[in-house]
Amino acid sequence: MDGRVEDVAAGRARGRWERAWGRGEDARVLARVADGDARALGELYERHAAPLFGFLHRLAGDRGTAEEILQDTLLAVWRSAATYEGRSSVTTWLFGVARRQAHNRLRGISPPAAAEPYERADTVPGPEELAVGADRVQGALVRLPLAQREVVVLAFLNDLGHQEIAEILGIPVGTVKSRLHHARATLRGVLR
Amino acid sequence: MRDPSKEKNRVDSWPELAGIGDDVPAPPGPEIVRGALRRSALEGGRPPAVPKAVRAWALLTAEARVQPVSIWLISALVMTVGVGFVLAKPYTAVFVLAMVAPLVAGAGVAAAYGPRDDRVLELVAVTPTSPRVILLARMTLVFGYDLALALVASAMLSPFQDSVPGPVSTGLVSLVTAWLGPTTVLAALSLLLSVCWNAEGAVGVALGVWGLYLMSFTKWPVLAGIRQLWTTSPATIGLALVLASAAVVAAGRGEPIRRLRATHGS
Repeated sequence: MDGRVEDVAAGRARGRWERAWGRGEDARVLARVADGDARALGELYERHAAPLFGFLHRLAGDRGTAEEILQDTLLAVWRSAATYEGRSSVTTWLFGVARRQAHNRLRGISPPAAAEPYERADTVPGPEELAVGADRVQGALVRLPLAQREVVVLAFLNDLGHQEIAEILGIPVGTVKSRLHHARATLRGVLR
Repeated sequence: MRDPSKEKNRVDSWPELAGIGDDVPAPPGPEIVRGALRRSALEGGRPPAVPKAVRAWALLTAEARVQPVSIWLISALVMTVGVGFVLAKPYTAVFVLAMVAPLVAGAGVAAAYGPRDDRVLELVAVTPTSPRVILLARMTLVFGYDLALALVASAMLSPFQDSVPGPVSTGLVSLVTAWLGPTTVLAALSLLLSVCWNAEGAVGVALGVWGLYLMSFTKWPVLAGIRQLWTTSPATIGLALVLASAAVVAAGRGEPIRRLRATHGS
């Protein structure tokens, strides 16, 4: 029993150390990007590709648009890496850049009409399958206003805390909570 | 008490979002990075900062290309003549190097910055690189080249050295100290004069000082302190630093195109 407790403690310590090391490594790679090292941009992308693309995919609603925003994000990182001052983690900074690029692309695109996702039911096996799973969530997410959608995706897909989301979006933690609250009400209405 | 910075929502408490992490497609491969870099190159905008070392190297190689070949050839030729003289007449290494190295550096530095027919003056005047940085780059190249020539010559001649006019020889170090102090002083003086006055005047003054030192070995009356200038000491290195710093400060002031016929041939 004692041994198991020690293993858990050691595992947590190792996890903390790995996270701290990862953050330091991120900052070093970003510094190389700021110095004009194109290979470092590739390294940075490899380290953060999956969470960033997942965030953008859920935000945009389709792969093509998400890829366009991702490329905009990489371009913005390449051009503005020197402005990173280390006040937040590199991950937070990257999500902030991605989120701004997403707003640039998605601003003015209105959510689809209410009936649209259910019209897609013709192309998939059956209504039961539609009622659950990722398609259903994606269909509901695109109905949220962008400000609520990004909070929901960051909180539930990227598993970020309220404080981190507040830093990425540049809003108070209280606003994060209120947007989540409104988002839930909207989702319930959409999925009813 | 809960730490607000770690406060999270759990997805299992939101059944509306069950499956939000499912079926997220894999991110694109590295080609998207290449695409972003290509766009950056095509669209222009603010490029990322180039590392300082890379920028410095690029500036040095660019300046090396625009320097007249004669600077490198004449310096090497004069130094070769000096080496040949010592080989023909052994035990003169200290004296010959103390005469040749300052002369080569003084003349080379003046020729590198401030000639009347600087072919790239117009180009330099419109580039964002400041005149001070240009000055430092050229001095690094020319002075570094002259120092390297003198060092190689010292290494070659160290078996042939003598104890005249300095103290008893103790090897390569005594040869280097024979020319290092006067070389830096004369180069710095020449640099300051070429920046504040003109290259021809700088070469003339450098030759004049050099001649005074030469005359100090004759019975002609010359300034008593001229031999003090031909030593490697904190005083001579300090003087060289002061003169070179003054040149760098002066290079950033005033109208850059101040030379006769700088922009046209007539």
